[in-house]
Amino acid sequence: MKTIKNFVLAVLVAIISITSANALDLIAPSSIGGTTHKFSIIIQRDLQNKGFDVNLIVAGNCVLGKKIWKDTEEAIFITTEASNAVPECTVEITEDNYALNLFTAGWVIVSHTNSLGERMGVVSYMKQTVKDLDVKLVPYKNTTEIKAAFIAGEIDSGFLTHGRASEIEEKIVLINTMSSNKGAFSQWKNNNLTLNYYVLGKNLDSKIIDAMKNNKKINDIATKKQMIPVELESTVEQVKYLLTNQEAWQ
Amino acid sequence: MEVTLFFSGILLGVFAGLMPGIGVFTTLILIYPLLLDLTISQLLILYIPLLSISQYLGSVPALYFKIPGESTSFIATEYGYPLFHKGHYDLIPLTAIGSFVATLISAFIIACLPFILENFFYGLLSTKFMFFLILLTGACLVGTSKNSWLLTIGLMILGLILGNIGFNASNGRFFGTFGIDWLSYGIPIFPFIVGLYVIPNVLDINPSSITSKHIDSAYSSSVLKLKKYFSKMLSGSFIGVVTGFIPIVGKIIGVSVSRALYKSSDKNSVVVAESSNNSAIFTALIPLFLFGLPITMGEILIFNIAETNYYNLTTEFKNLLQTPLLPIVIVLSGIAGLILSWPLARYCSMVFRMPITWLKTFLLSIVLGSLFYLGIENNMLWYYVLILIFFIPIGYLLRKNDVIPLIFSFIFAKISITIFERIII
Repeated sequence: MKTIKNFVLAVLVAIISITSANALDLIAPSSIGGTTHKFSIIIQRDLQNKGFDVNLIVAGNCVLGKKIWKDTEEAIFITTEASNAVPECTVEITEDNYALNLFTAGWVIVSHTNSLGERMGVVSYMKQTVKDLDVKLVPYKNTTEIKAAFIAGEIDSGFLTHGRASEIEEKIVLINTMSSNKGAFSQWKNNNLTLNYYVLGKNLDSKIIDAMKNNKKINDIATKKQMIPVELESTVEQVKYLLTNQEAWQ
Repeated sequence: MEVTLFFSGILLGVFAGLMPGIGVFTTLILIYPLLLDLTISQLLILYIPLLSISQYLGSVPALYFKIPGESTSFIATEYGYPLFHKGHYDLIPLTAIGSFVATLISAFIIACLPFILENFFYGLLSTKFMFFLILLTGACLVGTSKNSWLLTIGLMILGLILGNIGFNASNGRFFGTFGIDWLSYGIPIFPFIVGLYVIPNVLDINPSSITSKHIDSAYSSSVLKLKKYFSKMLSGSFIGVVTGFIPIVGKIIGVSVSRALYKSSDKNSVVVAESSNNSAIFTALIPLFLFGLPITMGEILIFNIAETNYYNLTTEFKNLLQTPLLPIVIVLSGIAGLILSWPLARYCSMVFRMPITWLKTFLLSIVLGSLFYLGIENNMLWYYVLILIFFIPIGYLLRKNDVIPLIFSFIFAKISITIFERIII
């Protein structure tokens, strides 16, 4: 019954999204079916249920996402430091447009042995973050591909989110960036690197930001996947934190 | 609830198989909000029939109208269509039965998974193995194309260049965008194929005298011919079992390689290819079930949704393998596909009662309607239209040639370059 209700709701949402000219744009600067798209749908559904008129735009990639963001008058934009670190995709984070941090993910280096080995799998746009490690970097599209390569024995080690790494049964964790014990990586400058999924807003009503903060599904995922968002006391500190983190990603 | 989901999967599979451009992934996107609340087993009960039925039915519009309902239907359009319109109406039942044989083999393999050592599959996931199969596909395309080998190689190089335009998320580089934002997205595949292949073919359709009686007679006679074609169905199925492990393009590699076993004018080439795609779609699920590794776009979406609701998805999949649920759903989907192909084939024959101008208008309306829908859905309608307009003249110029090597190398482009780069590191 609940599913049928949701389906009817989804159809109504789709119709409303198409017909409504004044809806708030929710921009996912990513491809359809990806993680950012999923989070965007969860937020859109929740905001619709709370009475806000929201039109989801899945841009296809971060370059087009930035273009749509520039052209829009009133919008929500969900992004990460990793995406924002690509020069063609950078949307400036300011105290005015920062709205909310959804998730903070830690990163892990897993290996078959106690060392990095010869070849380490890394997400292509993240190569800069691990370039000073003494290992050959093999680029992959995402952490799922790295997991596949690690399992198949194609790479000796892999740089993965904590959540993705936890899915691999046979592994040795060399470092967890969210742990205080940095092991052999105490000198590595990015040993505390995190990835934040955060929201920027343009001409956004504070009621909408409050509504997004109280999204039960998002909060459940954060708890379940150990991605509780880092939220500092002031917006100034929060923006500084994201900008510092973004530099590490560049 | 589960029964409703299964039948919804069948209906959605009919939709995905018949509507050009609306494949499994796009269909899943259409019902995305509904999927978010489903459990893993519910997701798979919906996904498996959708996947299976789309493969069964994709060949029907391909054989009748030369319109590929699915990405693997190009073999049916290019090689099956001329045979079908020369009176080989039994291609529809034979491809459906071949698909069913492949489905049964896949169900058996998936039922055996809990008893097979996981290490056995590691080799099939290796980059070198994937690269070898992609090279083999290239060789098959060159060796068996209707074109001269020089033209085929030229078309493949063009496909690789066009397919690599845009941002390659696997190596993090832009190629051929010339600073134009829209090109960062790459060339969208649907307007590319519609302009290059579908529209020139639809405009070239001739009237057909095919009737429902022809189809009924083809179905009854195909049972008698089963013995003759059974070994081909088996060989196609086994090729699909192996190539299914290649991420994203496994089923296309399967149909290309298996088709190359026979001459293009040989009916066997279509039967073997259509069997191959049905086993490939199911073996592509094995890395997901064993290692929690999604390797096709549809699986990535299912995995992405499921991981929101579970702590450890790999364990959940393994638990699911201990039950007979998956083989049962696969076999039931196969039976549904086999049954549905008959009335559908009869219904399609009725379409030919229309005057040929009306028929062409009708088919073009469906194709262009899908294109506009996808363009709007992706917020790039004008870009879709521009790509379409750009490729129609090229398609018209190439209409007398075999453009399958161009289309397949376009589809393979990004993954080929990525795998090559990984090998040389």
